[in-house]
Amino acid sequence: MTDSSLLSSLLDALQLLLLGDGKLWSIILVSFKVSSLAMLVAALPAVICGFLLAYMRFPGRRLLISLFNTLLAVPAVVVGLTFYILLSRHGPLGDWKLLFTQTAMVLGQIALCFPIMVAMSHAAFQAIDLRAWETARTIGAGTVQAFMMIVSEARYAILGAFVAGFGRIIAEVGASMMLGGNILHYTRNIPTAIALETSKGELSQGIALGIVLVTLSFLLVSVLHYFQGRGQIQ
Amino acid sequence: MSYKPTNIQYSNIHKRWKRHIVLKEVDIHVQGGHCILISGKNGSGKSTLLRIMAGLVKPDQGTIELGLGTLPWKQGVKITQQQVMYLHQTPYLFSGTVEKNLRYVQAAHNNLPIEMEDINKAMAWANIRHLSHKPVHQLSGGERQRVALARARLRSPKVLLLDEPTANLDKDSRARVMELLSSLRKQGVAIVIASHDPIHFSSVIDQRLRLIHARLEPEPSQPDNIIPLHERGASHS
Repeated sequence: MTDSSLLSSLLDALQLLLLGDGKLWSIILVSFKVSSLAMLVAALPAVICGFLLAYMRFPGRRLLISLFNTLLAVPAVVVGLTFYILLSRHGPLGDWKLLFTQTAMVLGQIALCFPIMVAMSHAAFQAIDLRAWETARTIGAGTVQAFMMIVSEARYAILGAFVAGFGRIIAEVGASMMLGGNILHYTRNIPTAIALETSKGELSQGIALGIVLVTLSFLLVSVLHYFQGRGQIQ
Repeated sequence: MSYKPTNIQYSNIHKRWKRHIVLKEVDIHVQGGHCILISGKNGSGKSTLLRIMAGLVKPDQGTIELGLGTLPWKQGVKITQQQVMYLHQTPYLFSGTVEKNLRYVQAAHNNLPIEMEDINKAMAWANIRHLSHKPVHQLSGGERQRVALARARLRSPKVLLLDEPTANLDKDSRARVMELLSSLRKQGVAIVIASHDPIHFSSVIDQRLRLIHARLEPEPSQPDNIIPLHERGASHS
């Protein structure tokens, strides 16, 4: 590829973004819709799991912690494959007819972001002194209220867990491709579109979507740094 | 703020950490307006005993008597937990300001948030009103202890358990904490203090006990009329 064609693709990409190309923005919308829904479903249970693993003692606790830490490193395509087997027509959940739908993509993304949010929330709660829980209880807080007080103490680290979880799923291609099927205006999201357009030689659309992802990553990391800095001050 | 007098008898408390026996046949009777000092070496089990009484640690064995008969531990501690407050050696303050920490407190008698007027009174009582908007990470050890005592006053527990409340405090801060404890005792709060350095507490204590070899015994120097509870039954019979 020559320098001039790369420059021309980049300019085309900026044009697509700035002129509000319908196809491009539909892909961006699908990405945000699916990943936000996955986050919405997974966030609270992940924080509760992290809390229970940090504060409660029960048989199998260490095993669960190891399991979540292991799941952190599982490739997205393996998660995609697992859910593909489960949701395919002859799979155990085939009757649900979810394969190649946004719901299937949400399920796959939940499975990807949940372990990272559990592991990071667990670390966040472990960093909070056990006296915080005891103090909350001794000044009259009930279980739920004491939990909220501890979450408030660990809020910056928990926000970091959310950012990391969202970062993991917004840019993953393996699970989305296998479970969504890359159907335009329905299940085609940013990473699957980049993979497809690049393979077709349509670089400008791939670059435009890449710009969106890089901008998003920059924003997420900036937010994370800002809040982590505030946490350190307190 | 007034307190109804209380009487709680904790009996036959046993606690073992793995193979190590921490507490054995420990009896302790707390009553309103009465201050008990438990002394003992570091690691003798003072903090464990206080945490058990506060319901934060479960004993292997033990009963609680509240004037309604003797209750098994699990049942008894559910009732006493609301009325007992435990203060850590280094009080934990939640991030934010002093005032925010006091707003978290709920009254023991109804578990409802406390009015701002009462919060202001408690801050004045503990001489921390000037610190109300100060972030807690900027407080000194003595100031933190006073915030913790202001929380205790707001919560209005019937029993206040303090773990080494004057450790690492300078002379002035210690004197201020003693004043506040004395004031709580006069209001009818039962106070139990655990300390390995009992010399500072002579102005407030009514009874001295010592944890030695996992058992709670009277301090040798205390007056004859104070009989440890596990011997009371024997002396009556």
